[in-house]
Amino acid sequence: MNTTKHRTITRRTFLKGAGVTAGAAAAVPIAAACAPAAPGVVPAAIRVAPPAGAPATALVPFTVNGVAFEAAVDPRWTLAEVLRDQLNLTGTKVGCDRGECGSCTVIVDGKAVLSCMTLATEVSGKTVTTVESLAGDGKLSPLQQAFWDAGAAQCGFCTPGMLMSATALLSAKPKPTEDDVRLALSGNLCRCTGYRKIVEGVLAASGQPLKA
Amino acid sequence: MSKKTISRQRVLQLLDDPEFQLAAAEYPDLYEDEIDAMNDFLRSVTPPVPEHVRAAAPTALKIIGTRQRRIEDPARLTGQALYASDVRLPDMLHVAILRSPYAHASIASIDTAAAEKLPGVRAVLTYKNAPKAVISAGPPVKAVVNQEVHFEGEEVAAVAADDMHTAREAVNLIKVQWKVLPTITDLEAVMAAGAPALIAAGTSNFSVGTPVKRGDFDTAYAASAVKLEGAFTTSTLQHGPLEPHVSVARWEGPDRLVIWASSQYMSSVRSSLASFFAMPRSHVRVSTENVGGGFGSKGGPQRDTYIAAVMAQMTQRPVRVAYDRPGNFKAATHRYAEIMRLKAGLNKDGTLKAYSLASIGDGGAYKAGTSALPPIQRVYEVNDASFQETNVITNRGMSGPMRCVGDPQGTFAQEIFVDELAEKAGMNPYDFRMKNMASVDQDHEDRKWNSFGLPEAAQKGAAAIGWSQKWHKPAGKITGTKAHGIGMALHACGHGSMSLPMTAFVRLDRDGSLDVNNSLTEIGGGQATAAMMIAAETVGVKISDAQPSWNDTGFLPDAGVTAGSRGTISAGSAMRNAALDLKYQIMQVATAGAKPMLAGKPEDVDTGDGFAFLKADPSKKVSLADVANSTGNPMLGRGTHVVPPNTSMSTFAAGFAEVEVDLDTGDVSLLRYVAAADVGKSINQLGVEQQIEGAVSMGIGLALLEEQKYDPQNNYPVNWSWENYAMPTTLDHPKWADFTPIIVEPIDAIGPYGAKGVGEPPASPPGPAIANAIYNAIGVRIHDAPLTRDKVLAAIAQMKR
Amino acid sequence: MKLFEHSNPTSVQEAVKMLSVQNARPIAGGTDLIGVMKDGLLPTDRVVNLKSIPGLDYIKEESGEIRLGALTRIGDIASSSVVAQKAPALAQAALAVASPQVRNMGTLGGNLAQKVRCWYFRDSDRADCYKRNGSYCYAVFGLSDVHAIFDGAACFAVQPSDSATALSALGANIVVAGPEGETVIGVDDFFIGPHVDYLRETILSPEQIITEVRIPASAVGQKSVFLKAAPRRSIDFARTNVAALVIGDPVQTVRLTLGAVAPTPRRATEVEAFLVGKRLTAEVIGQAARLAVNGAQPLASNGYKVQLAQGLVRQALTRLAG
Repeated sequence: MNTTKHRTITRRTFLKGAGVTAGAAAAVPIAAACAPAAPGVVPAAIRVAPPAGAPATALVPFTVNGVAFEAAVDPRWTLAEVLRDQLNLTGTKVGCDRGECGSCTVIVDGKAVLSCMTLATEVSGKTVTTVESLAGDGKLSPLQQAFWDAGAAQCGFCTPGMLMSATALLSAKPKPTEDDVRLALSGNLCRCTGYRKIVEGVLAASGQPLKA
Repeated sequence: MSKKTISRQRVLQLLDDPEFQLAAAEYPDLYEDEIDAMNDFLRSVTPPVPEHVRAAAPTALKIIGTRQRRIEDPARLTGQALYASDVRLPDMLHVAILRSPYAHASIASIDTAAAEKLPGVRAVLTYKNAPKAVISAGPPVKAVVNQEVHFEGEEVAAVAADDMHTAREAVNLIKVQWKVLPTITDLEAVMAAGAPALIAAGTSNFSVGTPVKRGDFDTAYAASAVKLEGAFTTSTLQHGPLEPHVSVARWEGPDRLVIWASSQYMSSVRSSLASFFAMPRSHVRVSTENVGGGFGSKGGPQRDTYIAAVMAQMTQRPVRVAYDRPGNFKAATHRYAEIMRLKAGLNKDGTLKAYSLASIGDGGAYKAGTSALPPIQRVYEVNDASFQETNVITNRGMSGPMRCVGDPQGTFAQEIFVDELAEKAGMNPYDFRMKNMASVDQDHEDRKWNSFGLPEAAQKGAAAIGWSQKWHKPAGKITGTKAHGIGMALHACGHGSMSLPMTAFVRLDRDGSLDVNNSLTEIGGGQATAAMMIAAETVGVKISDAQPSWNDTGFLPDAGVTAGSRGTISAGSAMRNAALDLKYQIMQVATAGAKPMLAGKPEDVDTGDGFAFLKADPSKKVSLADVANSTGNPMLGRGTHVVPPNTSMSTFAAGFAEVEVDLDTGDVSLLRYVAAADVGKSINQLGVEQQIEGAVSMGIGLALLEEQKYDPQNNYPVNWSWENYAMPTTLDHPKWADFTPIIVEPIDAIGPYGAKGVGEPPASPPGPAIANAIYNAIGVRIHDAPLTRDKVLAAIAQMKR
Repeated sequence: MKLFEHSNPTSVQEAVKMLSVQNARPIAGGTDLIGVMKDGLLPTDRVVNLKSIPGLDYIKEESGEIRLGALTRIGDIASSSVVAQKAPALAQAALAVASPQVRNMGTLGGNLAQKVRCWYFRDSDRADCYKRNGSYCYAVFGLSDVHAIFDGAACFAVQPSDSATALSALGANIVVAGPEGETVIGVDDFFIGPHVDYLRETILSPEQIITEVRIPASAVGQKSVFLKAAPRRSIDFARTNVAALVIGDPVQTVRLTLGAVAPTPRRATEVEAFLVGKRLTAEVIGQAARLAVNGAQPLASNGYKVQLAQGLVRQALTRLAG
């Protein structure tokens, strides 16, 4: 990455530059910015400052959903905090902030990990994939569509983490067994569903619909 | 029992009392008289849906009863759904909370100087600068933050800062000198004579509920051929929504407040906050677009909401308060633990003659009602019975309603006890239950139930699990170290049946599309989709032309709380009436005027697929857009749900479990679970299955894993996060084909298209069904939930092997 | 979390040097340390990121041994065919650790060097706990479901690592690097109990780190097994686990270790001595299981572990007999 091309912009000016007023809906433009880039196109890294008042001691270059960022972070910041509070990618949820529920699961360099237990400064140079990257061209991904068809989401709070664990599984093993799915999702707590329709959704997405 | 007289003034108060709304939704049996009075009142002031409008209801159903993908889901699947925890406002401050390290203590002195000096800190809230207004008058008084705390983890102080790390750092700088006050860890010791007052001097630590009686228990028991007694306990349980309590508050001027809250009851947040700040309700707007689960814990505003609103006022900046997970474990409400003592007498032929329950519930800190009574009164026929609840205050986190409130406790005790009675009578547990099953409402002159699906649920569940082939004598099927067992449980409750009144709006826009203003807070149950299906079916538009509105008090009426499984039955019924109101207006408009769009009387018109047409000649039709345009305005239908007088309505569920117990390790594998639920009429099959599966999941937790534990010396909760509070994972559930929801549909005349509620009833059978299966496996009874490894191992040690 | 300095050494020597200031702590997967820091349990001024040191993530066979770099992810151990075939107890233990995401993050070194999971130690309000340099143990009169039935002294927290139990049964050696250079230490000497130092669970001094774990040639390719009992089938730390290695029938060599029952992985040496020369019949296994819990001293609410440990020993030996 050629750092000389980087623009230094604060979170607010970035949002204004993206043509929106900052506010509750601010997740949308960044999410759009984080949609997968066209093949061969490497966007210039977007530099993201921490919120006003927070100390920043490190500049972390990393890629989120195909977009290069340089986030100015305080070493205490977790990846979940940077995604949610600096990049406004609030699709990644924080359920426990202590590694016990899996709601914050994202994929880092191909593996499902807990963004709440990952120091942002340690994802330097890595590739991060979040739930916002799954849908594209106005369509749900096959996994998302299968979740929808199966009724895998209820309150939806664990859903992004479930989707990321399942995405990692399916890319490592496109035709998993039911036991594989149950194991791969065993670090993602759900209080609404009893998991049955989630397992059903993942297997359907792998082309192996369950039949009663 | 004699009926209470409730004045109209009291009814009006109750309609506006969020705490009552929540309690009545969750304990419909206990507040039956109040609910009846409210329904009576509303019937007297709401014109009934005229017969000709009622007659306009569609007969051939195209949408109701199908399997529909939920409208709620795409935003949740893409990460675009906005939850209160996702709200990020310009200049928003973040709050960290200091919580009490003691179960009962008072602040002797508090020093916040160092916290206030930390750069980035904007405000510190303690009892010293908190508003004079209180959240509840008590006793004990509950202010935004208190000087005296009543449970470990209670909010003591809060810091608002530019970022969360600064706020947390500042909280660590607050110095408190505590005066530690007495606490009692044993529930029955709290009630002992001479126990120190836990709430306030002169205020009793417990209250004894009014006994509910049928006939004469003592005489019938004394005369019984077979007698049995038993004591049962259930543990304190966590709701465990994945989204913790979180609120964001923004003041827009001195008397205009906007709140984003993770709440099951947005209108209660509005009315409570308006009352707290002495403002008209119209000056508070509450938005709850998406809620990451509630299960009863997010009924009204909790302290997070009050702290956010107060600190936003102090700082004149938007403020976000999100409980961390340990804070949520400690300070959110819990399902109360119960101690339940049962007695029953049988005739020689196994007929149930006498039955009694005396229970003690751990209400936790502050005033919180408990009850394990309702379910026991419905399932079995018994003329002589007595039920009584005692509610104890303890220095533990506040108890509150949780999915199927009170019933998982009561049904746990009842259905294990009934298994034991069956054995005493020498009968198969299934046969014993069917023999003694009640088919009428015994508490109301043996009225017929409005709909009664319990026998069918029991039969279908038994057939699905293979009860007659698989049931064996206790400890009768042991292979090596593996013991196989099968168990069942029945359940009946008021959830999803009788309910408080409810209002709904539906709007036909000038383009012919339908805005479905279901004002019930959507918390994951698919309520928006169900309301949309009901409205589209009734008005006669394509489902693709209907959309539910997002929950916002800015444009939706108070429809009460999303609790008590009342979404589909109450909101759905109100929605059906609103849609009928609209449909009849369409029929009138289409046939009105000198040059009517359709030549005929309103009654000659029907609607479907976005058109109004003549029944006699469907080719004569006009689009609903043209109908709406002809009025120059969108058309609004309004509807209210009111329960007819002298109605007996109940929901029913049956559960069947098959387990394997490892005799070496005490490991219990749940091999199979079948849940059959009487839902009246299924509106959205997918949604009904979701509710059954989720309810069972919570029951599995109660049965085998979940227990909020408290230190026996200090009353500290010790397992205050998901590391040690074992909420079940994928691997703790049966596999897909071995986890079977069965929908039983005895059409009920009151609910929309015959529907009853389903969110809660299936949550009650798993506890006793699994406990009975474990007994069937090892032949030793365990009466205390959860049936964790330590208890199972202790039981195995008692086996005769 | 208190503000701290974060540093990225590129060699073991540099890491050791960076760790030689007060309140410096190494981080690998972070799944333990970040929790400790969020809860403010131990003062932390500097975090030394071992992941920036190249070449510590490997599973290889050398001189008949299996050698695992300290930064090898638990998940990679769980899915390694070499480990599964030649040291099955370790593969089974790795698969039993926490959750899939934690296994993708956590490392072998971190799993061995993690802090205890006692629920009183982990409660930030219980600052007078021995492990936090206080002078009280809440478990003694409190709830001890997760605590030790053996060898407690002042502190009753147990060693939570699943891999430690397996490595003890496999007779593994641990390579430790520090200011004085590298030392190799047997896994049973690596862990220490509160009678030695109640602030530490291992012999590691603050500036020492684990660089490698070696499974000796004598254990490689032999029959071994690991079993774990916890409330749930995922996420949870063990309430009791067991690992065993058996060579020969009749038994020539046996190593049996119980975990989560004592402050350290607990070799059942009495059982081992009893088993040598015997065939693993049901009767012998039953006697061995009873011997394994000889001398247990449960607290108020962990008595179930005595029965559980026996059951697990019985099942482990039964599997190795089959």
